[in-house]
Amino acid sequence: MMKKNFVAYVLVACMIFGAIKIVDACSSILVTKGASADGSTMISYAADSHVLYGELYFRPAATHPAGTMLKVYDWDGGKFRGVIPQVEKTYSTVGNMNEHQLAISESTYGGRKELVNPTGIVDYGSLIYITLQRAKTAREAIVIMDELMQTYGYGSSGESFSIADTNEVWIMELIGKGPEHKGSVWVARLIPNGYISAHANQARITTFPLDDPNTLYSKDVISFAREQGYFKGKDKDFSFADAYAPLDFGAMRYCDARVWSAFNMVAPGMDKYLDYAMGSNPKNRMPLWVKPAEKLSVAKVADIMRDHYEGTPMDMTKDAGAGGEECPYRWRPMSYKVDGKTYLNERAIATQQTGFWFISQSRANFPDVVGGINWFGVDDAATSCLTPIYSSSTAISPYFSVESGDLLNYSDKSAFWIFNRVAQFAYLRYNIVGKAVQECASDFENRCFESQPAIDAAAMELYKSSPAKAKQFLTDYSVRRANELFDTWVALDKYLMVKFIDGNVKKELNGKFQNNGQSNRIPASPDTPGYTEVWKRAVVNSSNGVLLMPSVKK
Amino acid sequence: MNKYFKLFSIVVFLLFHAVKTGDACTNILVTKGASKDGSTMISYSADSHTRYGVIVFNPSSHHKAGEVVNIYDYEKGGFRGSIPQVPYTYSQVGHMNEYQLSIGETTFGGRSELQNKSGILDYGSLIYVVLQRAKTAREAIQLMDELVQEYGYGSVGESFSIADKNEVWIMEIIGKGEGNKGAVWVARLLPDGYISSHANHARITTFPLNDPATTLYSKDVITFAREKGYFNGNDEDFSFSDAYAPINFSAARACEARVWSVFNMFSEGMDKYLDYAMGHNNENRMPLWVKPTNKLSVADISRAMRDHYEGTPMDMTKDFGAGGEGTPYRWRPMSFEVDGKKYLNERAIATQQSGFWFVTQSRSFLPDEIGGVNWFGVDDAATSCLSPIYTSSRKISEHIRTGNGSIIEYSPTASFWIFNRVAQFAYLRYNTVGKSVQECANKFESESFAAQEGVERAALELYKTSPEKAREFLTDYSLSRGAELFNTWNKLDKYLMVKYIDGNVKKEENGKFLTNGNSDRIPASPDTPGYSDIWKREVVKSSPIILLMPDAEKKEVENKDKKRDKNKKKKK
Repeated sequence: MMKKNFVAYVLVACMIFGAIKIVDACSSILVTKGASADGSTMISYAADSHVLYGELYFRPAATHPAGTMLKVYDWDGGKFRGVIPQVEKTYSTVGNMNEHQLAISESTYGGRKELVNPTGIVDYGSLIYITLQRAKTAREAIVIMDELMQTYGYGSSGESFSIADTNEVWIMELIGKGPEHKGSVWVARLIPNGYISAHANQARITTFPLDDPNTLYSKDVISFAREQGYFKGKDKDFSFADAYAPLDFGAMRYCDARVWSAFNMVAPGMDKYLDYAMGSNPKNRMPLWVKPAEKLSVAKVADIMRDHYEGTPMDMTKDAGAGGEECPYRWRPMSYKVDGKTYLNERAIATQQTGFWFISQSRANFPDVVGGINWFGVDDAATSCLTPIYSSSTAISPYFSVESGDLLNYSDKSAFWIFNRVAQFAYLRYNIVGKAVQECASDFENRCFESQPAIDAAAMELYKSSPAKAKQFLTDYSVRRANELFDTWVALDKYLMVKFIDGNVKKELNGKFQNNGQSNRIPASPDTPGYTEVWKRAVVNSSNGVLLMPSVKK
Repeated sequence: MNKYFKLFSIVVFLLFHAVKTGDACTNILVTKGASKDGSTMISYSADSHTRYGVIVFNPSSHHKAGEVVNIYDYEKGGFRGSIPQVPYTYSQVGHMNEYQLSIGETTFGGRSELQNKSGILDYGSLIYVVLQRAKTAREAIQLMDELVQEYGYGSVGESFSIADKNEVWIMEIIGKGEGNKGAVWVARLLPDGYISSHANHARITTFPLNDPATTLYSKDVITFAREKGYFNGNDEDFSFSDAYAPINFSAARACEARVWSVFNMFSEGMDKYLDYAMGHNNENRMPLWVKPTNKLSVADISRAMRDHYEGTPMDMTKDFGAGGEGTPYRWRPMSFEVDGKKYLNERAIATQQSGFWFVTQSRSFLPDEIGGVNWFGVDDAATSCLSPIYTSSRKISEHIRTGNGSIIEYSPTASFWIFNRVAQFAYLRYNTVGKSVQECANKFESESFAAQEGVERAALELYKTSPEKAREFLTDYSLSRGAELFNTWNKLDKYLMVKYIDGNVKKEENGKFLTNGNSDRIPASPDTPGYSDIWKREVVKSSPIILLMPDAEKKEVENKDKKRDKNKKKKK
């Protein structure tokens, strides 16, 4: 009896570990003013979880009577964690961004499991959303986060946060101090202007300057590690990541490999870290930030968020796992055995289980009402599309709202569901259907990028006489765009069905399906692109000559 | 000129290819004595990459003298010509009429020089015209012959399944070349207790020359072959199929193999024809009919229509082409080359490009108003579902009506589109999503089968006082079943999305999705069934080093885990 329970416990523990480290995981890219094409700061985020519905959290600005308490529900699991006092005034937030252009995102690295304090009231997600309602700048956010954790306890495992305001971009990494201990140990570093950083489920901060206004840390970050026996060198050699989240193969290959790929797409010289990314050289860690060869636009960051290691040795479209149509997706579990050896399925930045993703733009050259944009999308980045949501918005599109549906209830009025529907078809025939989906996304996003200067200018005109009018204008624009995106995807879904069912590609002429010349209800004979070379070879390999056609004269 | 000729050759090749392999169909024929309940049955799947799934409905009607029927090509829609109408036409529901006569077909093509393109009647129009004019299979055969003699036969070689409530016939026909009206043909009555099948290759070989009770044929079927130089033996050795549709590898493997699979499912001893079916022994032809071991039901025939060679050496779920989740589908084209050698993709009975399919039931022990049932489905048989349509129906469901959408126009109220939508998802993950789809189809069909006796008893009651009331009742029943099927599939589509997105399987308990226990909006952690063994092996072969996890690292991780577990134990 005991034994059975123990086995069950280990299994559950293992599953939870697996879930945190591997399955439910996220990627975030951080871009400083000097690294962006237009002087924005940007952070990106993909919220990847097999149990997360993609929706845009909207909380209007509010004032609260003294004594108001805030109920904290676990962001991941929905569990009630406790109550904390509300503040007098909360800022308006749209998703992971507030009306002051402050944006916060995260990825979970887990780290040493014994440091989780399950009774801590504030989980990492709530920490973000509460802080966004209370802070105006990144530095304020860091202080508030520390205070919240110290006062109410931090209930999650190790986290990396991206925190950006109009001027600064910070990476902050923290971990709890074990059961019954409030507070956390943490380090936060300002990304040097002109640089970018990224994190993806593995702690990135190693050593750090101990006396530098641009590096903040909890007082006990080193002493606590010593006490716990995680570290015993000199202070200056203390590495946060090595002490609190020791590397293993999975942390490199499933997690830091994504950071490598992000860097590799925009910065020269990343080849030398390939062995690290692929998990064969743990000593060869990457720098915390790199200088991109060219300044980045929202579109470029979106490209990175859509990566599946294309063009690298981990390219998911190249082996037989991609099927016959270059699908860069692999279902879970993330590893499997063949003849006693274990093999892995890659985990790329763009992944099927993304709930929502975004790229924030915070612009110091605009007033907050106009400057903040949350470029927001639901579901897998590579099969979905961003729409601009000005962070001063006072309303959001119903298709993206929390009321639009959930992961257990399909809704025809939900962006998440129509994007998922289209994605499943794209996964069936990625190099054909997926391509059409990407063209549609690209077209929509480009139209948004192109109209942005005019929208900004019009909003600025209104702002001069009435910031409220500018807000209304940008709210209307954001809602209209999001609604348009929803309608576009509903139409795309139907188009894809007609165009691509059953392995075919129906011919088009001047934007219309071509008929057979006799009836406008019957198409011209569709094209049949067939399968890739790697598929053909694998099929031949696997079929013992059954499929070989006899070589006979015609 | 040269350029045009080249283009012409390519087009001819494409047409041939389409007729022989891409656009093709499968029929099963079941005699009274071979069916469980004394029905005759034929099944049909209309397989074409350009065919939309609807049911053609023509109510019975009177026509004025001098009226003509405009003939539009069944496949292509083009106007072919007009023929005189008859004074009265019977009501037709798809491939079945109010007298329980049903006709299916498959195209075998045969000698391409025998097509008379200017013939007014293409094979599909021939079926639909005859269904409106004939009451029995014998009448149908005679009428078909008359029509093609009078107005010309414009299609390539065809096999027809023709069943009335007593007899089941297979008829094979081919034109006589450009400018020649009429056709050469043979029709054979299936012996009672037997089943037959055809699937894009001519099945009738030799036949008795003097047995009009069971074998009919055009007078010139042998002489014409002699004239053309297709045959020069004794009359009794004349084989229709060998003369007009010489066998080749793809006729065996892509066509006859489907017949083999049907026979193999229901009767003994088909192993000995496996080499023929697989295209390795063209001499070893199968019999035209076989006796099934057990008598067959509509459910048995639909199971055969859903076959992908499962359990045979051609099983499409077994090689890497099935992907990681046992998909028995292959996209076109039907062959591919590796290192200079040609390989094929199997062509099974159940196939993605089916427009519609059906199993008919004609029953001599019931009045025609009640006896004829067209069990009808749209899209691929293996991912779709049959719904009963009594052939006395006065009306047809909106969801399967001609004109509600087309294959180049999406319609949210068309069954074809919702079934295709669900099928595409099933193709992505066949052994999970496909399985759910089949369970749903099975449930719906089982309900219909279970209700049949009661429905017909009620209809018979009504029939005693008013045949018209029986008709109305059966019309309503057919319509309500059709609507229910459409709604069921719309619900299924949404259920499948929630259940199966992204490679997962969400947990259920008592028919409800399990939540994580904290929030009714958040599921319990989904199951992840992963991939098949064949997938794993071939992926590893295609990428032996990159995807390998280092042993040392793995051990290190495992050791760490063990240590951690030990520590936990100690703490406890």
